[in-house]
Amino acid sequence: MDRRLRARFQELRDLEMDRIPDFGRIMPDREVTGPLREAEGAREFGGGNRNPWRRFAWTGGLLAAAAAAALIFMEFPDRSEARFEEAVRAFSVDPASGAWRSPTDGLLRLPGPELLSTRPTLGGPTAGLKSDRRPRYSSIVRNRS
Amino acid sequence: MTPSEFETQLRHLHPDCFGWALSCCGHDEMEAEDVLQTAYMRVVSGRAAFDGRSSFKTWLFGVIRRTSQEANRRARVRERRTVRLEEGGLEATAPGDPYEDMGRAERARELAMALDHLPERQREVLHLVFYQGLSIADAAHVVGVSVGSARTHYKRGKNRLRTLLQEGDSLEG
Repeated sequence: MDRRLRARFQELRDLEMDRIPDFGRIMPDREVTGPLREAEGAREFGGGNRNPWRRFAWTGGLLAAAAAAALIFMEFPDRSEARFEEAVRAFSVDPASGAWRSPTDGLLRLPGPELLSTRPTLGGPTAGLKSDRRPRYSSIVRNRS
Repeated sequence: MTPSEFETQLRHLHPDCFGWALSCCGHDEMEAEDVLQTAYMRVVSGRAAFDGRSSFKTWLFGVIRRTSQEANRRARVRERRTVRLEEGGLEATAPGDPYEDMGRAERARELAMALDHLPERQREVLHLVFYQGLSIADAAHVVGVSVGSARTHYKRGKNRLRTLLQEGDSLEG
């Protein structure tokens, strides 16, 4: 089997050898400077003369990893938390400010509530409209006497 | 090794390198020439550095193999490979008995097509051993497998090849 197989392979080789392209046409058109370096442990496709762009690829990868780590571990201020805290502060100062207000709240306001919070005086200016013009009790007593 | 010795080595191995490149590229001559030129360029420019851990030929074949794999990843070679073989790319060009040449060409094409149906590693090992005359150990180094794996590929490849060839030709096993 091996012998016949070798014969078949030899036929294939003979046929393909008729098609060998000229070495000068295939060989790169540059001076052969003989960079054959018998370096220990040198690896193919690079040895000691690596593609310089590989360094940039590594640097870029490291920078990207650092940026990703920073995004993960950095604490960004939560705006919704800030808004909540602001609302709580406002509510603690004025509960009404934090209470829910009905859109028809205005309809419940009765006209003239200001009259209930003031005391009218005789002959004096209309009281109650402005708190700073509300007569004092002492002045009423003086007037009576 | 001086530059002139380096070039002499390449020139001396050029026919074998072309045969190996043809095998790696599915007998596509244009593809094989491109792969060979790229491999030579890498060797000349120093991108591929010979470290002396194997023979120069073995190392060079490894460079050609990797170069062809990169080229195959960029192009769909398998379809072109099948079409090219079916179109009868292997034809006798040397003058001689036309009937004999036709028979040889036909047998060579048949063998090439049968090799194409083998798994890649088996095809590579058989080519390196039978076509290039390398030992199984050297073939293992070129392909990048252990010697034991190469022996397995060799045995299975031979059996499979025998079956494929017997389908079209009676061949004693």
